[in-house]
Formats: sequence, C-alpha cells, structure tokens
Amino acid sequence: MSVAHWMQYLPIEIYVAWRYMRFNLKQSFIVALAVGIGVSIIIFIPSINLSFFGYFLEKTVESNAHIKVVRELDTEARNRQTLKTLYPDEGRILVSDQSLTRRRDIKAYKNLVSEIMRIDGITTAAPYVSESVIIVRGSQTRTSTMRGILPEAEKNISNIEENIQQGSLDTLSDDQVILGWRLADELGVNVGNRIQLLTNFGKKSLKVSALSNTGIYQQDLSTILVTLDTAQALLNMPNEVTGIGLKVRDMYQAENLARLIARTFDLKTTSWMEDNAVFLDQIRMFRVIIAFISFLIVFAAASSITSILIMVVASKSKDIGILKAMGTPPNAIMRMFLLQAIILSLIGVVAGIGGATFLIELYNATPYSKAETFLGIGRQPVTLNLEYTVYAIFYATLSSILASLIPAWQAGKLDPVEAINQ
Amino acid sequence: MIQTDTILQTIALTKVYEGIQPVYAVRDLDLTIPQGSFMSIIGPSGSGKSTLMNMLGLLDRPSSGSLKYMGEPTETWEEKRRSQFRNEEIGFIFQAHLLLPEFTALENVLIPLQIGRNLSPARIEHAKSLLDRIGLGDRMHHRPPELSGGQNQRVAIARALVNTPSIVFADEPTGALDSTTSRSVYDLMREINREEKVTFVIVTHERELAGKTDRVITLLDGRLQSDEAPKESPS
Repeated sequence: MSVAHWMQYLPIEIYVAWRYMRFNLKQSFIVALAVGIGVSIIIFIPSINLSFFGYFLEKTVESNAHIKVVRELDTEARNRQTLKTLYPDEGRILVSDQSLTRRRDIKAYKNLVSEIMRIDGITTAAPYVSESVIIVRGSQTRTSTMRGILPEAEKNISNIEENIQQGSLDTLSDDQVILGWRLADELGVNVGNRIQLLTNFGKKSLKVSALSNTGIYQQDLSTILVTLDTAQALLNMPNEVTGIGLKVRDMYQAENLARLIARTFDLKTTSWMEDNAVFLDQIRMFRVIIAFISFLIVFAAASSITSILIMVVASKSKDIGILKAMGTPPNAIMRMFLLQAIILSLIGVVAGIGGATFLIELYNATPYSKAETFLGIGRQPVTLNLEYTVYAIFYATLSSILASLIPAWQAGKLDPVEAINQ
Repeated sequence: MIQTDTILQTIALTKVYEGIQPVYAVRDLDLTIPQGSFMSIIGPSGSGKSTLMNMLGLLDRPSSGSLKYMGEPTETWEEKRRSQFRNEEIGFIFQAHLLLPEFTALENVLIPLQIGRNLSPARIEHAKSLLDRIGLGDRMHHRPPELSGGQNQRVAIARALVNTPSIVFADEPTGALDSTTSRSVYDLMREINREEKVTFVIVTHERELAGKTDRVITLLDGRLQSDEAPKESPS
C-alpha cells in the first residue's frame, strides 16, 4: 500500500472533503440523488415537449411558404382615394365600399419574382392564384377555393406533392384538376372523370387527374388544384397572380425578410411567424412554466443539500475544531464544504443527464396509443434537448454552491475551543 | 524550532465573560515559560486552566493583557497568522478520541504537514519513525476506531510532534486512560521533552501526573495560586 497517496499532496480541503464524501456514502448519495432527479426532470420535460413543438413547427413551416406576398399595399388606399373624390361622404365609403374596392392581384408578377429572388436569403418563389369558384358535377355543385399553381415551383414551397394520390403533380396540364379526396367523394367523381369550374368570367371543363390526401379533414374537403394558366384564364387575369409564396434560408429570418420585401416593393407580406403567433406564444409560455418548475425543483434539491450539509457540519464539528487547532485557516474549512457540494452536484448532474437519457429512451420505446397522429403529425423520436441540458448543468451547480454557502460559512466560523469541548 | 530562552510570556492576561455579573475565567496572570520546560497547570474544575491553555495555544483571544511568543506580542495577529503559527510552532494533545475517524493513524499524523503544505517523502518517513517510536509501527494503517484509547492518544502525540513544534499543549492527556497506559503516555512526553527540547505544558486535574513535572502552576478562580517545583520532581 502506497502511503504517500497522491491525494495527500492536494490542499487539505480537497483531501478531507473527498474522504468525508467517501465515508459518508449515504449522505453523499442522497445529495447526488436529489441533484440527479432535479437535473433529469429539468432536461426530460422540455426534451419531450420542445421536440414535439419543434417538429410541429418544422412540419407546418416546411409544408407551407415561409413568406406570403399577398397584394399591392397601395391598391386599397389608391382606390379609396379615388372613391373619396367620387363620394364625398367618407364614413360611408369606408364601411360599404372597402370590400368592393379590394383588388388582390399582383401585376407583372414575373418581374417581381425575379426582383425578390435577388434578395439575399430568399431561396424559392412560387406565384399562385387563389380564388373562390363553383364546382359542378352533373346536378351537384359546391363552392370552394381554387388554387392555380406552377407545379415545379410549388413543389419547392410546400409538401403538396407528398399528398398526391393516384396521379402526379408534375403531369398536371391546363385541362386537368387535382381534387381533395373528400371533395371528390362528395361529388362522386374519380380520377379520369370530368368536372366544371365556374367563375364570374367563364367556365371550363377539367379532367380529374389525381387526388390529394393531407390527412386534414377540412383541406381534403376543399382542395381544387389547377395550373396557374388555367386559373388565370378562368379569372380573366393574365399576367396577374393573387400571391407569391417564398422560402427563406433561415426560417427565423422570415419576419425580417417579409418586412424588407413589404418596404422595398410596397407589398403586403405575412411570415409564418405571424401566422403561427399563437403557437409560438404557447412555446414561450411553456418555457416560462418550465423555468418556474425548474426553480421549484432546484429549490427542493438545494434545500436538501443545505440541510444535509448542516447535519454534516454539526456531526463533524469536533473534527473541524481539531483541523482548526492544527492550523487550518477558516477559509480552507469553508472551501472543504463548498467542494463537497460542488463535487456531489457534479456527480448528480452526470447521473441526471444519464437519467434523462434513460427516460427519453424509455419514452421512445413506449408503444403509442390509438391516436396515430396529432394535427397530421405522427410520433417522432425524442432527443435530449441540448439547451436545457446546459441550463440544468449551470442551474444545478450554481444552486448547489449557494445551498452550501450557509453550512460552509457555519463550519468556517466554528470556534475551535467550543467545537472540541462539545 | 525557534531557539530562545523564553518561549512564552504573559503579562496581566485576562479573560472575562461579560454579562450582568462579569465572570473572570483568567485574571491578571503573569507567566513566563522558558524553552524546554516540562510543566503542568492544575486546579479544580472551573479554575480557568482550560481557558488559559486555549489562550496560550492561540485558540482563544484574551480580553486584555499581553501574550508574547519569543518576545513578539500576538494580540495584533490576524486569524491567518495565528493559524499558521499554530500549525508550525504549536502541538495540541487533547483528551482521547480527538483523531479524525475517517483517516488511518498515519494519515492523522500527516494532517498537520498537509495543512502547512509541508508534505514530502522525507517527512512521511519522519512520521512513520514517530509512530514506530511510540510503538504503533505495525498499526499505522488502522483507523482510530480500530485502536485502543491508549494507542489513539499516542497517535495524537505523534500528530502533535510531527511538525517539530516549539511547544506542545496537552489537555488532560491521560484523563481517559488506565494507569498503565497513562504511565506510558507520560513517559513518552517526558522522553520527547528531554531529547528534542520540546516545551510541554500539561493541563490536568491529576495531582499525580502534575507531581511528575518540573514545575506546577496552580490556578484558583482564574488567579495564579502557586508556582512551584514539586518535591518529588524526577529531574
């Protein structure tokens, strides 16, 4: 047995702290366990929830345009100005004529698309026409929103292609239409049958070339997809579109880029962030709640550290007195107990990360309930949330140090005479 | 070890516990302890002998008066300086069971060296030879609960001596020991005093033990009652 163990050459506080922890395994275990449980909960809950939120967002955002350029901003204002000269009674105009004067078209859209594409950060653009139409099949009629698209461009903007069944988006021609499968079902049509689309400006007979199944009821009951040319012809608006969908490189830059486009081209824009503001607020709220729960958990763990260390200091007061009598300075005695808290909390943190990983694996391995999907999203494997892992490490270590300050300070100021005579 | 004639001197050393009725634990005590002394402080319980020892050992601060080590007043010393001085120049032997139970006999003996960051292979050998000398060479890797009271007290003596202090304070060093063990502990202290010229101040209520020292200080109610060399002193 080597007598001059290397640990003996470390400062006395490290040496004694280590020995105390080793010889008081029960207390050390409880402290590390308290920290470990706290850390694993702080990591586990956000990992599960934010994984889902993140996937949901990604899915929603990826399946839609990041930015929608909707219409020329000045159209309404200009028309209102015109109308104001026609009708001096301003109040009546605002109420009764606003809807009539709303013109939603974007003219010379091809130039506009190439201009927008020059902006750094914009990756794809897909112009579209969206307007209400009447759909006729024999004696049946329905009203719905027709969407005229450029299939090649639209594929890059949305997940539309994934949902196409019994046909293909690529081969959509000017005399064809893709219907939502529920709509087709209601109309009693199938792929190969013909339907008619009616607008204020004309009608056209189209062959059903494919069906669309998004898994979202309302969409499958309303989807009418035609080519951009067909829609423009039906609405008598050649060279005009009602909107342009855009994708950006960094989805969190969408809001800024949308504002830039609105300013530069005098257009109205909306970003996915505005469209999902409620959902983003929910995530923010969740983070606040988690911060609060974390605080409570850490507070509980820290209390256990404080009370256990106070017990240790009390039971070791004689030893502390001897160490002081032999010349250990008060600061070294303080560090002795701070160190114990730090080391045990680090062990707890490692155990906590292990625990969280285990819980996540368990969660991933648990069979899902009947509900296969939620909001069209299937179950996704959850991964350890890195942000909250870092946060838990920091939080647990800091609170352990704070929790040990009182016992450490007590130990440091212990009067050796009193301690020894106890 | 510091070589000088007088190691420790007190002038009007007083410890008073304030209250409605102030209690004087030690009052106006003048004492001079030459280097290499082997002396004892006796007195009934409550006479102030432990308080005096704690002040002499820089564990406690006097209320008034002066305490000089090697001629240097200690009143102005900060806690850090006092700790360092205790570590380097003073050895303490308390009543039994004041070893650290988590550490082996040898580790306990080495702790003062570690506190002073003076550990070296040579000093570890010195500690081992100390343990050998007190007859615990074969038990140095045992922890205090595995040793007898007398063995533990001898480990405490080795611990008090490992830093080669100038002065050793022993508070009731044989109080918890049977007479045979007491005798061997006394012999050990006496031997070290003779060979290494280490000053010993033994606080005890045992007249028999005190009678074997070279000088006996008797305290009563915190005051010096007598300061004499016992007749049967062996030196």
